[in-house]
Amino acid sequence: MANSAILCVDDESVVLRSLRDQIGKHFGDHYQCEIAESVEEAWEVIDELQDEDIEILIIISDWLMPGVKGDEFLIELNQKFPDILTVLLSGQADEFAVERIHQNMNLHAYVSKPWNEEELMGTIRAGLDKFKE
Amino acid sequence: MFIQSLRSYPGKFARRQKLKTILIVPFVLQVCGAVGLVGYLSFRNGQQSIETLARQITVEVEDRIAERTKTYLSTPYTVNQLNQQALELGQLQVNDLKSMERHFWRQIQIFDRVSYIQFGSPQNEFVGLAANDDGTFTYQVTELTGDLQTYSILNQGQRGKLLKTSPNFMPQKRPWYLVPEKVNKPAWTDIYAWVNPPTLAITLGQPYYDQAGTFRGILATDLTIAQFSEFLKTLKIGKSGKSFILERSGLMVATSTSEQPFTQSNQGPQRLSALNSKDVITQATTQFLLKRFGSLQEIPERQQLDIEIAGRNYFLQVSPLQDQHGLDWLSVVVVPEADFMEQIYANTRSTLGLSIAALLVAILMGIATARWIIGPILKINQAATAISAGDLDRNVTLNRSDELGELARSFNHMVNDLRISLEEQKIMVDAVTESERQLAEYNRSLEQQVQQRTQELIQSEKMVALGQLTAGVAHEINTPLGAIQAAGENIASSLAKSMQRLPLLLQQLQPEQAQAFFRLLNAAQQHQELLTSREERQLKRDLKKMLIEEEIASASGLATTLSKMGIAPNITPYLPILVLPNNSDILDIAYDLTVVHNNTQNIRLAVGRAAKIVFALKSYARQDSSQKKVRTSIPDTVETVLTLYHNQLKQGIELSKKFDEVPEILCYPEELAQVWTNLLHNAMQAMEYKGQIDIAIKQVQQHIAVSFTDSGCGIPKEQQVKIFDPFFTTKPAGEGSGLGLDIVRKIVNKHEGKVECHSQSGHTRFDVWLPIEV
Repeated sequence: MANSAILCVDDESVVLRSLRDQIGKHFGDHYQCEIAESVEEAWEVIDELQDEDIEILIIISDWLMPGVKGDEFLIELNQKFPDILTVLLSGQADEFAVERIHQNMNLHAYVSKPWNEEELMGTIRAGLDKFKE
Repeated sequence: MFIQSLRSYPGKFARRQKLKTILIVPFVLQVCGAVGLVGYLSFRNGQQSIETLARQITVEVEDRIAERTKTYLSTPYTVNQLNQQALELGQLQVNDLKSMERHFWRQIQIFDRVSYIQFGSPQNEFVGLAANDDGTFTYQVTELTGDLQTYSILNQGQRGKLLKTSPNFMPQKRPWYLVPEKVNKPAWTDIYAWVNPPTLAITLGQPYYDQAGTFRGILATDLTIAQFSEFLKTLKIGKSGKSFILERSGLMVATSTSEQPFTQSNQGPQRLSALNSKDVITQATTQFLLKRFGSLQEIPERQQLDIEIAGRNYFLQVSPLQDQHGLDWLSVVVVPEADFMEQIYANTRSTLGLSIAALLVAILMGIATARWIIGPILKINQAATAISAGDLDRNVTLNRSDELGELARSFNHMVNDLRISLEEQKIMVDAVTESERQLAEYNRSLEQQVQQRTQELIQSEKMVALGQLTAGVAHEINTPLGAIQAAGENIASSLAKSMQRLPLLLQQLQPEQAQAFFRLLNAAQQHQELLTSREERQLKRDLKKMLIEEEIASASGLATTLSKMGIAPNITPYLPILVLPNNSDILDIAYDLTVVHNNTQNIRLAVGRAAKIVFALKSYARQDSSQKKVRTSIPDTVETVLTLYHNQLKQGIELSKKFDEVPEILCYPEELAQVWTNLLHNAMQAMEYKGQIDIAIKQVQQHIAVSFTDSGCGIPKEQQVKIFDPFFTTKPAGEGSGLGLDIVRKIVNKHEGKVECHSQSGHTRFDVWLPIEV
């Protein structure tokens, strides 16, 4: 099985599972897809994957979540793991918030809900290609 | 108090009176006082000087009476003395009485006041000359006959014819003989009545001793007392003063009154007691003297007295009249005070008249002065009264240059100013009235506007809340939409993939393996509940462990797939296919088939969520235009709001709901939704979107009680009373309209319910009671 993974974080399990199916469909052969329903769980998964020596390449996170907000999570993640690419997936089309995130961190991409599969997968693929380089 | 009231009395009096009275009365009082005092003093002085004068006059009169009396009384003594000297010189002889006739006749020529000159001897011899009432003289001699013979007298004093003979004449028995003989010196007889002419007379007798010292007889001279009265009558004492002479016994001697000092009877004249006098003054005076001194004997010297007779005052003076021959009378002078006071009274009357005249003049002058002073004041007063009654066109015309003229001018000036200022005031009042009217109109329209605006604000408040929700709602809707989209694509690709591979797989599988395959598919499709990612990971770990225990290759991948399918951690039923070398492919196909099912379920869930949100939004945002109550479940209205806020709530708020079964009630559901929205929104803001919110719905008697409890900072005590006021807000300007709780209360009131707040830090509860039967 692949030694690298893509992590999806969203409080909506429906979303998570759809995402996982799409990612599995496109990149399942080479990358493991993990899901977490909260930021807290995301950190757990990150720890677990590190223990299993599985490298996380991309994290796709929702914007609005209970507890810690998506952007805060991504900013913190960016500080701890600057190599992990981050994709913000949100149903809230707040351009100012996106702008703020862009200014504060190295955001790989912002994808708005409802997302287009091709667009999202393209974005992921582009990110994965960065690692291949 | 009393003194004070006394002291203030004149002030009070003055304050009560009209100005005219005040101006006149003191004037008149002064004049009265001055005139009265002067009049009284002059009257007193006059009275005193008159009294003095009267006393002097009476004294003078008295002196004259005394002098005249003395003169009268001295005549008989002189005659007697002359006759005694003539006897001593031998010009007359006691033995030749006839010689005495011519002597007496000559004497009576000189001493016309005496009425009788006589000599009586102890030998009963008598010779006398009488001055008769008719002016003739007669000789009366005894000539040793013992009878008294009366002869007329010729021109040269010779005896004429015998006129009358009175028998048995005894001179020694007569008082004029007996009294001096007895005292052996000259002495007066008592007064005796003379028959013809009727009068009173008195005689002074004197004993005659010859050179040998032998008593030879009595020389005597008569004096008629009528002449005393004549004299008294000639005295003018005041106007109507009276004088009379009394003996100490009280018998009258002489009087200036018209009355005779004696009475007439059949026996001839009788002595008259002053007490019996017909003259009132004489009688009253005597009575007074008797009363005053007890007896007339007791009056030792001149007395000046005042006496009142018949209501009139009299000056009374009484003095003893005495001589050396034993005469002891009293002379009395009585003068009516009025005689002297007449002038004084006249003066007093004229003084009084003048006083009254002065008084009248004073009053007239006072009235004139008062009129002169008050007139203008009255004019001004009338004008002032008219002005106070509203007649401002009044002016006071006063052609004077004094203070009052000045006053009138000032008054006119003032009135003018007043008129101007009143006009200004009227203009201002009109302006104010107009302004007030406008203001009232503004107020009315403002009220309308406020009402309208409030309605708008309520709606806009709703829209603000909705606006705040929009982001979350967009997310809430986009999330299921995203899921649906993804699921659709997943289904499509999975179906395509599995359809491609399934027939081949089914051909390859042994019946036992096929059964296990379908068993796996069934298990996956029967698995309804979505596992959480954490549960799924655990499941994956469990499955992986089992697969490793069964020594199945690629355990990790298989476990992942199985866990995604939600297969329970019992792999035994599926071992026939798990042990196959192409187990991964078989499971992928199974998974793809499961994906269709799962994603279909996902779509259903997502659609349900989206529909719920849309419904909630629709019920929330709708403006209730029907204004009709609808039978509604209160928990549903709360749920609607919670749905809309789901996204915000889930980010840090622990929500606990405790909804009891409650009956549906007639209400305005949209408005109640706004109540819950406002309460929930406030709760979340109060705890800055982190903490605990408890919502409870229960039935309390005939009410449904909905309570929102938050763990926020609480509301300070002093603000708790104000939170329901409109526009009360603790939020920065622009963030809150301050209408939230006002709207809550309005809506609750509209439902005839009530809302209460209990707050302390960390525990704030809003209770809403809605009546069940309305």
